[in-house]
Amino acid sequence: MHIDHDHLGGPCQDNCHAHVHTHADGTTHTHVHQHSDCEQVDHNHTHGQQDGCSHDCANCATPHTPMEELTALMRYMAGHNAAHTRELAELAKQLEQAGSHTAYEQVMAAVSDFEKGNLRLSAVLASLDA
Amino acid sequence: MCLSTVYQDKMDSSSILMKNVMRIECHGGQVILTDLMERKLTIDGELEQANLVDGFVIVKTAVPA
Repeated sequence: MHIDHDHLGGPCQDNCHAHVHTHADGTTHTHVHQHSDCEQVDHNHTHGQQDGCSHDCANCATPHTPMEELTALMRYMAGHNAAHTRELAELAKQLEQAGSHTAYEQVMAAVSDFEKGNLRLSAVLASLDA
Repeated sequence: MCLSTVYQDKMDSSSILMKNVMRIECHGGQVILTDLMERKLTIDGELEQANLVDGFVIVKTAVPA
């Protein structure tokens, strides 16, 4: 349940606007919201799920620091890149099986470059975790 | 596959509902977004478009009765 919010901008098309609001548990979020009767910037109101949005703060009990979020994103990116690298290597194999040995070699060279980049990311992650 | 940015109704910077979304569930007229940090956002509406190449999703919000 939202208990209060401040507007970040004026009314826009379709009566939607961005705002910050604070939940009963103190958690603050920013997002875009829509009201059918919103015609001015300065107004106060409370709203709930009937307005078309709600936050489940069950998992917000322990707020994440910006560094924790950045590290999580870096960890995701490193894993994601590794998955793409494996997919590229598989693609290279298929190119060779299709008779394109030169293309296979070029793609595998790209795979090697990807792996170097992933190693660099892993090193950064290790330093952040230290 | 890739993380997505989810927009409300239209794709512009002022309509971003959530970034780095890793999971989207649709149940009974609600769209439930979960980001990389496991934060959840529930919207009354429906999935309008999901572009898995460019990593964006548009949710059409329900108009309150």
